[in-house]
Amino acid sequence: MKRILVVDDHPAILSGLRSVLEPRYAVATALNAFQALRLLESEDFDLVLVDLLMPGLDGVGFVRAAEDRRIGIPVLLMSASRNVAVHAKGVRVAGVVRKPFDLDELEATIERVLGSLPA
Amino acid sequence: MSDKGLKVLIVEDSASDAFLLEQALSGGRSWRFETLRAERLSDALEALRREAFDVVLLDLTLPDSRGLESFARLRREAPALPVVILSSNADERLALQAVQAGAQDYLMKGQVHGPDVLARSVRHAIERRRADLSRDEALSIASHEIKTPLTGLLLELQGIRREADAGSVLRSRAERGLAEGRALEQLVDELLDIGRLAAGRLVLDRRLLDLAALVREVVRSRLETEIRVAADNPVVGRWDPLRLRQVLVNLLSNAVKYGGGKPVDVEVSGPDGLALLRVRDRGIGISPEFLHRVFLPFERDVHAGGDGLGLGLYIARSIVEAHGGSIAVESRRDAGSIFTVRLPKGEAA
Repeated sequence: MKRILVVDDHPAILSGLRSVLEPRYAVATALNAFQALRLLESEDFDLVLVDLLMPGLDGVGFVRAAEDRRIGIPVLLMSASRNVAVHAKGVRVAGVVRKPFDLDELEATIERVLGSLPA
Repeated sequence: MSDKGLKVLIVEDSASDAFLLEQALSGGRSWRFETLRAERLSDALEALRREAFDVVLLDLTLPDSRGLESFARLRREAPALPVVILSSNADERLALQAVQAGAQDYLMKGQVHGPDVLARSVRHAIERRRADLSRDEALSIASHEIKTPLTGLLLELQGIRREADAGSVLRSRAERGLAEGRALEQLVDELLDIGRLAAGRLVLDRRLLDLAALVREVVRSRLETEIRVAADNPVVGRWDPLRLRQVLVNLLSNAVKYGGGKPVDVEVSGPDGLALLRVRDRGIGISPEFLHRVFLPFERDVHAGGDGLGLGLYIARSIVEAHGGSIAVESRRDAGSIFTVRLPKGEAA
């Protein structure tokens, strides 16, 4: 089973995503970017879903920090803003997911990213 | 405000008019003003890049820019800055339109030499702009905060819909809850947009785009009414795809909603450096007393059964203008309405 790490500062989003994704994936959660980076250094994941807007280190900062630590993992940015493309300029992400989520769309995006990974 | 008083940028090509204004400002007892004069709009824009001002006095008719375009370009350069329009008798209507488009006040030239008239108007414009900005900021924060629990709510409802058996009562209740939640999401998006637009913070993500293809795509997803498309192929420019889609969706939603079930026509053409989009319905039309207010925020034609926040056309206009374009409407009672959007193609032309 593929392993997904979900990072968001709102616990309700974490538990909501966990319950819809859990039947198909192994899901771990983190409430902030630092916690997520620590998890990534000790465990293996196939994909990270990270919120763009978080206190402390935001989604774009998380991607940069992961790159600095040579953690090579595909990242999907989640955001309620419609200007994500503008905010995310300059960092490499596998895709962007809009909040509120459309569940079918979210899963299709996840599958697309996971499917393009080397087996 | 500096120790020297309020800094006023006077954009006025007539030396004698500018002189009278400077005099009027220096004569006031209650406040002190420091003025700088620009004869052309380009000089004014350059001054705004160089230093900060508290307020602008703007003559709309300048050697290098005319009419509402002067105001729009100034606002784009300095979104937060209060603007007082200087108007002559001949163009008072234009001045009023500038105020409707977001200028803080207008003054009739020749009536400003009363001792404190101009000073008071300037002070008032500054306070008004400040109040507008904090309202827009509050709207923006509130809508963003609402989105977070809404995201959780819609996620749970989608989960329930998925787990409920097909055809079950639970499934249809989840569907209804979701539909209401999506409607709430759209209202929140509109409020978020209006905060951003009024504060001049709309950031365009311009890409090379075929407007004709975008129109066909948006029309394909609307099944409730016959929408006929006549389009040149292709009409390419550098525009923000998401924002233009929003303009299209807003115009088409209105055409369908007020179109009385009759076919809607959409026309796209690209003469020279311009893209032209026309949306025509054959419905109830817009009442004459409402026609001049359709593009203003929070306005709804109650006689036509308008609902929602009354922001759709305002948002459409703001997006089109942010692209340097314009939008216009013609309408006749019981004959329908025609909305025409003109968009410069940008560097792609």
